[in-house]
Amino acid sequence: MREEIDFSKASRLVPRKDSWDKVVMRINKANEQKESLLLNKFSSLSAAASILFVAGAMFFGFNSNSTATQTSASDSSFEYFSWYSGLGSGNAVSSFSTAIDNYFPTGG
Amino acid sequence: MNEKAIIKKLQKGDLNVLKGIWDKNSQNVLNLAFRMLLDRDKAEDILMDVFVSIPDAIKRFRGDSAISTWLYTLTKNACLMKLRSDRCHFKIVSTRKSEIEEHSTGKEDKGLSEPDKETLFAGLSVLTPEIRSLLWLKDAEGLDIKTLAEMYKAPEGTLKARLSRARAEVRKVIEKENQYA
Repeated sequence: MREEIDFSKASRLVPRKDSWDKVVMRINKANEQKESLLLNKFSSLSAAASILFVAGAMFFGFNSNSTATQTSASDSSFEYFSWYSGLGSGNAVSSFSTAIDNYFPTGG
Repeated sequence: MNEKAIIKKLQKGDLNVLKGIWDKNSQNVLNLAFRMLLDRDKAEDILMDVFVSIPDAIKRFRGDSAISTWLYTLTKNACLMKLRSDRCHFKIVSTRKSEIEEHSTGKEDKGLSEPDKETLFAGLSVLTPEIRSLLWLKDAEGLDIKTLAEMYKAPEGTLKARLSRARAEVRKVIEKENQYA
Protein backbone atom coordinates (compact mmCIF):
# COMPACT_ATOMS: atom_id res chain seq x y z
CA MET A 1 0.00 0.00 0.00
CA ARG A 2 1.25 3.46 -0.92
CA GLU A 3 2.29 5.42 2.17
CA GLU A 4 1.62 8.97 0.91
CA ILE A 5 -1.75 10.54 0.23
CA ASP A 6 -2.35 11.20 -3.45
CA PHE A 7 -2.99 14.89 -3.87
CA SER A 8 -2.80 14.87 -7.63
CA LYS A 9 -6.59 15.28 -7.89
CA ALA A 10 -6.70 18.09 -5.35
CA SER A 11 -7.44 21.51 -6.76
CA ARG A 12 -4.38 23.70 -7.23
CA LEU A 13 -5.17 27.38 -6.96
CA VAL A 14 -3.60 30.14 -9.01
CA PRO A 15 -3.19 33.66 -7.54
CA ARG A 16 -5.62 36.26 -8.84
CA LYS A 17 -4.35 38.47 -11.64
CA ASP A 18 -4.42 41.69 -9.63
CA SER A 19 -2.74 40.23 -6.52
CA TRP A 20 0.80 41.22 -7.52
CA ASP A 21 -0.29 44.81 -8.27
CA LYS A 22 -1.90 44.99 -4.85
CA VAL A 23 1.31 43.71 -3.23
CA VAL A 24 3.38 46.39 -5.02
CA MET A 25 0.87 49.07 -4.04
CA ARG A 26 1.00 48.02 -0.37
CA ILE A 27 4.82 47.90 -0.35
CA ASN A 28 5.05 51.37 -1.90
CA LYS A 29 2.51 52.71 0.59
CA ALA A 30 4.48 51.19 3.49
CA ASN A 31 7.69 52.78 2.15
CA GLU A 32 5.98 56.17 1.88
CA GLN A 33 4.72 55.84 5.43
CA LYS A 34 8.22 54.97 6.62
CA GLU A 35 9.65 58.03 4.84
CA SER A 36 7.04 60.35 6.29
CA LEU A 37 7.64 58.86 9.74
CA LEU A 38 11.37 59.51 9.34
CA LEU A 39 10.64 63.06 8.18
CA ASN A 40 8.37 63.57 11.18
CA LYS A 41 11.09 62.28 13.48
CA PHE A 42 13.63 64.65 11.98
CA SER A 43 11.28 67.63 12.12
CA SER A 44 10.32 66.86 15.72
CA LEU A 45 14.02 66.49 16.55
CA SER A 46 14.84 69.82 14.94
CA ALA A 47 11.85 71.42 16.71
CA ALA A 48 13.07 70.01 20.03
CA ALA A 49 16.58 71.28 19.31
CA SER A 50 15.33 74.76 18.45
CA ILE A 51 13.17 74.82 21.60
CA LEU A 52 16.21 73.82 23.63
CA PHE A 53 18.27 76.48 21.90
CA VAL A 54 15.68 79.19 22.56
CA ALA A 55 15.25 78.02 26.16
CA GLY A 56 19.02 78.08 26.65
CA ALA A 57 19.31 81.48 25.07
CA MET A 58 16.49 82.82 27.26
CA PHE A 59 18.07 81.32 30.36
CA PHE A 60 21.47 82.84 29.70
CA GLY A 61 19.81 86.05 28.49
CA PHE A 62 17.87 86.41 31.75
CA ASN A 63 21.00 85.69 33.73
CA SER A 64 22.99 88.37 31.95
CA ASN A 65 20.03 90.82 32.29
CA SER A 66 19.84 90.27 36.00
CA THR A 67 23.60 90.94 36.24
CA ALA A 68 23.13 94.13 34.28
CA THR A 69 20.23 95.14 36.53
CA GLN A 70 22.34 94.38 39.53
CA THR A 71 25.20 96.48 38.10
CA SER A 72 22.94 99.38 37.24
CA ALA A 73 21.28 99.10 40.63
CA SER A 74 24.65 99.17 42.30
CA ASP A 75 25.70 102.05 40.05
CA SER A 76 22.61 104.07 40.91
CA SER A 77 23.00 103.36 44.62
CA PHE A 78 26.62 104.50 44.31
CA GLU A 79 25.37 107.65 42.58
CA TYR A 80 22.81 108.30 45.31
CA PHE A 81 25.41 107.64 47.95
CA SER A 82 27.91 110.03 46.36
CA TRP A 83 25.21 112.66 45.86
CA TYR A 84 24.01 112.41 49.44
CA SER A 85 27.56 112.40 50.74
CA GLY A 86 28.36 115.41 48.59
CA LEU A 87 25.47 117.45 49.99
CA GLY A 88 26.76 120.66 51.54
CA SER A 89 30.15 120.24 49.99
CA GLY A 90 29.37 122.34 46.94
CA ASN A 91 30.00 119.45 44.57
CA ALA A 92 26.37 118.56 44.77
CA VAL A 93 25.39 122.07 43.74
CA SER A 94 27.62 121.99 40.75
CA SER A 95 26.22 118.72 39.56
CA PHE A 96 22.56 119.50 40.35
CA SER A 97 22.70 123.23 39.92
CA THR A 98 19.62 125.28 39.23
CA ALA A 99 19.36 128.98 38.43
CA ILE A 100 18.62 129.80 42.09
CA ASP A 101 21.57 127.68 43.23
CA ASN A 102 23.79 129.58 40.87
CA TYR A 103 22.60 132.90 42.26
CA PHE A 104 22.74 131.83 45.86
CA PRO A 105 25.47 129.25 46.02
CA THR A 106 25.64 127.27 49.23
CA GLY A 107 28.88 126.11 50.73
CA GLY A 108 32.42 127.03 49.82
CA MET B 1 21.48 34.44 -9.79
CA ASN B 2 22.22 32.43 -6.65
CA GLU B 3 20.11 32.72 -3.49
CA LYS B 4 22.62 34.88 -1.59
CA ALA B 5 22.60 37.45 -4.37
CA ILE B 6 18.79 37.34 -4.41
CA ILE B 7 18.68 37.90 -0.64
CA LYS B 8 21.08 40.86 -0.90
CA LYS B 9 18.98 42.45 -3.63
CA LEU B 10 15.80 41.84 -1.67
CA GLN B 11 17.37 43.50 1.37
CA LYS B 12 17.97 46.56 -0.81
CA GLY B 13 14.26 46.56 -1.71
CA ASP B 14 14.56 45.40 -5.33
CA LEU B 15 10.99 44.84 -6.55
CA ASN B 16 12.07 43.06 -9.74
CA VAL B 17 13.70 40.32 -7.68
CA LEU B 18 10.59 40.13 -5.54
CA LYS B 19 8.53 39.71 -8.71
CA GLY B 20 10.77 36.78 -9.68
CA ILE B 21 10.11 35.16 -6.32
CA TRP B 22 6.40 35.83 -6.76
CA ASP B 23 6.38 34.09 -10.15
CA LYS B 24 8.20 31.09 -8.74
CA ASN B 25 6.54 30.68 -5.33
CA SER B 26 3.19 32.49 -5.15
CA GLN B 27 1.21 29.40 -6.19
CA ASN B 28 2.87 27.25 -3.54
CA VAL B 29 2.27 29.89 -0.86
CA LEU B 30 -1.36 30.30 -1.90
CA ASN B 31 -2.03 26.57 -1.89
CA LEU B 32 -0.42 26.02 1.50
CA ALA B 33 -2.48 28.90 2.92
CA PHE B 34 -5.60 27.49 1.32
CA ARG B 35 -4.95 24.03 2.79
CA MET B 36 -4.58 25.55 6.23
CA LEU B 37 -7.41 28.09 6.15
CA LEU B 38 -9.80 26.28 3.78
CA ASP B 39 -10.90 29.64 2.42
CA ARG B 40 -9.85 31.06 -0.94
CA ASP B 41 -10.22 34.74 0.01
CA LYS B 42 -8.35 34.36 3.28
CA ALA B 43 -5.61 32.38 1.52
CA GLU B 44 -5.28 35.16 -1.03
CA ASP B 45 -4.99 37.70 1.82
CA ILE B 46 -2.26 35.61 3.44
CA LEU B 47 -0.41 35.38 0.12
CA MET B 48 -0.39 39.17 -0.17
CA ASP B 49 0.50 39.66 3.52
CA VAL B 50 3.46 37.28 3.17
CA PHE B 51 4.85 39.07 0.11
CA VAL B 52 4.29 42.52 1.60
CA SER B 53 6.20 41.43 4.71
CA ILE B 54 9.18 40.11 2.73
CA PRO B 55 11.12 43.44 2.41
CA ASP B 56 11.17 43.75 6.22
CA ALA B 57 11.41 40.05 7.09
CA ILE B 58 14.33 39.44 4.71
CA LYS B 59 16.50 41.70 6.90
CA ARG B 60 16.22 39.08 9.66
CA PHE B 61 16.67 36.10 7.31
CA ARG B 62 20.16 34.62 7.65
CA GLY B 63 19.92 32.38 4.59
CA ASP B 64 20.12 29.13 6.57
CA SER B 65 17.38 27.56 4.46
CA ALA B 66 16.18 27.92 0.88
CA ILE B 67 14.01 30.95 0.14
CA SER B 68 11.10 28.68 -0.77
CA THR B 69 11.33 26.90 2.61
CA TRP B 70 11.53 30.27 4.37
CA LEU B 71 8.41 31.38 2.49
CA TYR B 72 6.57 28.25 3.60
CA THR B 73 7.52 29.03 7.20
CA LEU B 74 6.30 32.63 6.85
CA THR B 75 3.06 31.36 5.34
CA LYS B 76 2.51 28.71 8.01
CA ASN B 77 3.09 31.22 10.79
CA ALA B 78 0.87 33.83 9.15
CA CYS B 79 -1.93 31.26 8.80
CA LEU B 80 -1.60 30.14 12.41
CA MET B 81 -1.76 33.75 13.57
CA LYS B 82 -4.80 34.34 11.39
CA LEU B 83 -6.48 31.24 12.80
CA ARG B 84 -5.69 32.33 16.35
CA SER B 85 -7.11 35.77 15.74
CA ASP B 86 -10.22 34.31 14.14
CA ARG B 87 -10.44 31.68 16.90
CA CYS B 88 -11.33 29.03 14.39
CA HIS B 89 -9.18 25.99 15.06
CA PHE B 90 -12.11 24.01 13.90
CA LYS B 91 -13.16 20.74 12.51
CA ILE B 92 -15.48 21.42 9.65
CA VAL B 93 -18.95 20.16 10.36
CA SER B 94 -19.84 17.72 7.64
CA THR B 95 -23.09 19.51 6.84
CA ARG B 96 -21.18 22.67 5.97
CA LYS B 97 -18.53 20.84 3.97
CA SER B 98 -20.03 21.26 0.51
CA GLU B 99 -20.96 24.88 1.22
CA ILE B 100 -17.36 25.69 2.16
CA GLU B 101 -16.12 23.69 -0.78
CA GLU B 102 -18.19 25.79 -3.19
CA HIS B 103 -17.11 29.00 -1.56
CA SER B 104 -13.46 28.16 -1.28
CA THR B 105 -12.65 26.77 -4.71
CA GLY B 106 -12.99 29.02 -7.69
CA LYS B 107 -14.70 28.44 -11.01
CA GLU B 108 -11.41 27.34 -12.54
CA ASP B 109 -11.43 24.01 -10.70
CA LYS B 110 -14.45 22.53 -12.52
CA GLY B 111 -12.38 20.06 -14.55
CA LEU B 112 -11.57 17.78 -11.61
CA SER B 113 -13.63 14.79 -10.65
CA GLU B 114 -15.89 16.07 -7.87
CA PRO B 115 -16.23 12.98 -5.60
CA ASP B 116 -12.46 12.51 -5.33
CA LYS B 117 -11.87 16.14 -4.60
CA GLU B 118 -14.68 16.24 -2.08
CA THR B 119 -13.61 13.15 -0.20
CA LEU B 120 -10.05 14.40 -0.07
CA PHE B 121 -11.28 17.74 1.22
CA ALA B 122 -13.38 15.99 3.86
CA GLY B 123 -10.45 13.83 4.85
CA LEU B 124 -8.14 16.79 5.26
CA SER B 125 -10.70 18.85 7.13
CA VAL B 126 -10.64 16.50 10.14
CA LEU B 127 -6.99 17.40 10.78
CA THR B 128 -5.79 20.47 12.63
CA PRO B 129 -4.48 23.27 10.37
CA GLU B 130 -0.87 22.65 11.38
CA ILE B 131 -1.01 18.90 10.67
CA ARG B 132 -2.85 19.68 7.44
CA SER B 133 -0.01 21.97 6.39
CA LEU B 134 2.54 19.31 7.34
CA LEU B 135 0.76 16.66 5.30
CA TRP B 136 0.34 19.02 2.34
CA LEU B 137 3.98 20.06 2.32
CA LYS B 138 5.18 16.45 2.56
CA ASP B 139 2.78 14.63 0.24
CA ALA B 140 1.72 17.34 -2.22
CA GLU B 141 4.71 19.69 -2.37
CA GLY B 142 7.26 16.93 -1.81
CA LEU B 143 9.37 18.58 0.89
CA ASP B 144 11.81 16.22 2.59
CA ILE B 145 11.48 15.35 6.26
CA LYS B 146 14.71 17.18 7.18
CA THR B 147 13.43 20.49 5.81
CA LEU B 148 10.10 19.94 7.57
CA ALA B 149 11.93 19.25 10.83
CA GLU B 150 13.63 22.66 10.49
CA MET B 151 10.37 24.37 9.61
CA TYR B 152 8.31 22.84 12.41
CA LYS B 153 11.18 22.83 14.90
CA ALA B 154 10.49 19.20 15.79
CA PRO B 155 12.54 15.99 15.58
CA GLU B 156 12.21 14.00 12.37
CA GLY B 157 10.82 10.97 14.24
CA THR B 158 8.03 13.04 15.79
CA LEU B 159 7.07 14.45 12.40
CA LYS B 160 7.07 10.99 10.82
CA ALA B 161 4.74 9.74 13.55
CA ARG B 162 2.44 12.76 13.11
CA LEU B 163 2.37 12.24 9.36
CA SER B 164 1.56 8.57 9.74
CA ARG B 165 -1.32 9.31 12.14
CA ALA B 166 -2.61 12.07 9.85
CA ARG B 167 -2.58 9.80 6.81
CA ALA B 168 -4.44 7.12 8.74
CA GLU B 169 -7.11 9.62 9.80
CA VAL B 170 -7.52 10.98 6.28
CA ARG B 171 -7.78 7.47 4.84
CA LYS B 172 -10.40 6.53 7.41
CA VAL B 173 -12.57 9.51 6.44
CA ILE B 174 -12.08 8.87 2.74
CA GLU B 175 -13.12 5.21 3.18
CA LYS B 176 -16.24 6.24 5.07
CA GLU B 177 -17.13 8.85 2.45
CA ASN B 178 -16.69 6.25 -0.27
CA GLN B 179 -18.90 3.79 1.62
CA TYR B 180 -21.71 6.39 1.87
CA ALA B 181 -21.22 7.30 -1.76
